Amino acid sequence: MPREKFQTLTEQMFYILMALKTECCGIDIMESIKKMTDCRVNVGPGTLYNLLEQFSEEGIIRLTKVEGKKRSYILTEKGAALLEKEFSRLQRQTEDYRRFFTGEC
Amino acid sequence: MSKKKKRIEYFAPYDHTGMAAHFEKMAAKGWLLCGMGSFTNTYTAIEPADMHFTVTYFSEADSTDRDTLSRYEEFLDMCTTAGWKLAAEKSVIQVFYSTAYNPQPLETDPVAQVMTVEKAMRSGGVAAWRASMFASFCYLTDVLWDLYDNPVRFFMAGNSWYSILPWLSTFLFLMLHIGVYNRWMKKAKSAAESGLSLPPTATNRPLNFITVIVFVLNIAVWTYTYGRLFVGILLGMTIIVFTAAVYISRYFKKSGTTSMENGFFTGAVMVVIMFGAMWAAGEYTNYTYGIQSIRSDKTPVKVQEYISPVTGKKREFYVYDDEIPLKIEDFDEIVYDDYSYEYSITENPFMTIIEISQDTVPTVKHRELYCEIVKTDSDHFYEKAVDNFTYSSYETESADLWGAVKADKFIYPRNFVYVLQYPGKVVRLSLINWEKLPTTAQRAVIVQKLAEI
Repeated sequence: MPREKFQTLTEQMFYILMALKTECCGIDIMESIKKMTDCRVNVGPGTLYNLLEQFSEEGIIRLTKVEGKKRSYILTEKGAALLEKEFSRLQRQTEDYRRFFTGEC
Repeated sequence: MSKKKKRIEYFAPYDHTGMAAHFEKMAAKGWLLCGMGSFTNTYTAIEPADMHFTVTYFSEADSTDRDTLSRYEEFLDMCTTAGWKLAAEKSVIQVFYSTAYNPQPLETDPVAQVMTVEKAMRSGGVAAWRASMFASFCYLTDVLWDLYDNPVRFFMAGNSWYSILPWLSTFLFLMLHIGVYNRWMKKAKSAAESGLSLPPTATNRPLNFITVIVFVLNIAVWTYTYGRLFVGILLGMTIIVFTAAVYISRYFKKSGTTSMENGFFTGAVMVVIMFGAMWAAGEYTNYTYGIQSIRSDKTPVKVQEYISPVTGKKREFYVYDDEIPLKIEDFDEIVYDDYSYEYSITENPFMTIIEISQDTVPTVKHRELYCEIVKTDSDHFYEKAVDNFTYSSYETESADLWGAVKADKFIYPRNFVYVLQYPGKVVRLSLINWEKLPTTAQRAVIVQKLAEI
């Protein structure tokens, strides 16, 4: 069964939202993710743009300013909560992994 | 000036891997994509090169809204910054190419890509497919019912048995397209959920090829069945209605209506425009009098203008000089020398329909003759022909007078209609503006002539 939209986040969604903790535009987001992940995660412009549009429609991020063709966004409270929820989920996964492989369970 | 060529090619809008693979092959042959149409793509000559192509979707790329356009331009800029060049765009589809050895992909998240394709298809391709499939289904049902219920009227209205083929093939292919798309979308979602790349869509190439063939065949069948003028009017009206629909939909979208309200209002306005276009076509082409009056097989010997007693407007009456096997002068004298003589035979696997007419301008009241003959070996179609020709107000006529198996008549002042049943042949003979019933001698001539047809 397909999952509900943004119920869980993919790696790319997660990093895009992280990058939007501070206001930034599309190109800055791509650069910021590269820096955060040591170039491990590369977000393609197609993916980034469509996700920004979808996040914006869902109220996860909001448009802050438009300078020429450049548009800047920032995380909303709903977005921050979603990110936090995803972080907790990942953390639980990590903890489960640790407990399982160290024989704590 | 660079050399260009246009090729007939069709790709389902979601077939991004099929398109990319095809454009890469074309570039290797020395042709770079530079324009996309509905059923054609344009290429410009280049040195054969190994290029990478990728297809993206921006669901509002065809919007006229300034804000959306600026977002679209920023999106294109970002793709350019990533090393891609825009080769061509069409509606929600953008095709980029890169000469780099290993360019950065534009789509890097399968989950996001599935959402993007689904959104683009919802606003474009699939919605149009569903609407067209519904329309073709309604028309097909209507035609098939008409063919079953009143085949004589169906064929006499200028239809032929193969005129159902365009609607049938359109319906089947749209159903197939939607089925293939849904199947791919299901697989794509499942792959994305599992973190895998989306399955390729290139397997749909045979279907795309068949679609082009079906489209061309449909136009050919329509043209052959109804004539070029009819197809021209139909295509013109379709273009007007759909172009208007795009702009109306955008207007409602900008007005902040929901998609359901938008669909309802756009549909309502389209219906009004469609009827308006039909009315205009009728005003300027005599369409309301039946497009069949303008024959594609023959030029009239004369065109007579007259004022319609119904609408008070100027109309045209076409005078033809066909050789007809039964005419008034065969059994009576005529005092009018400007008759139009028309003769047509419609043959199909079910029956042969022969129509004979000798008539005048509607405002001139001279004797006229119409004779419709249905020849068939099938009892079912024979009965349908009798049903079609006979009304409840008809009375039984002496069959012997006409040498027939059965005969019915409708006698009205100056108008006499006879439905005559012969083995394998049903005849409806209408004598209009006739002063008196045909005599025995006249009937004998008519019977003899009918026997020869």
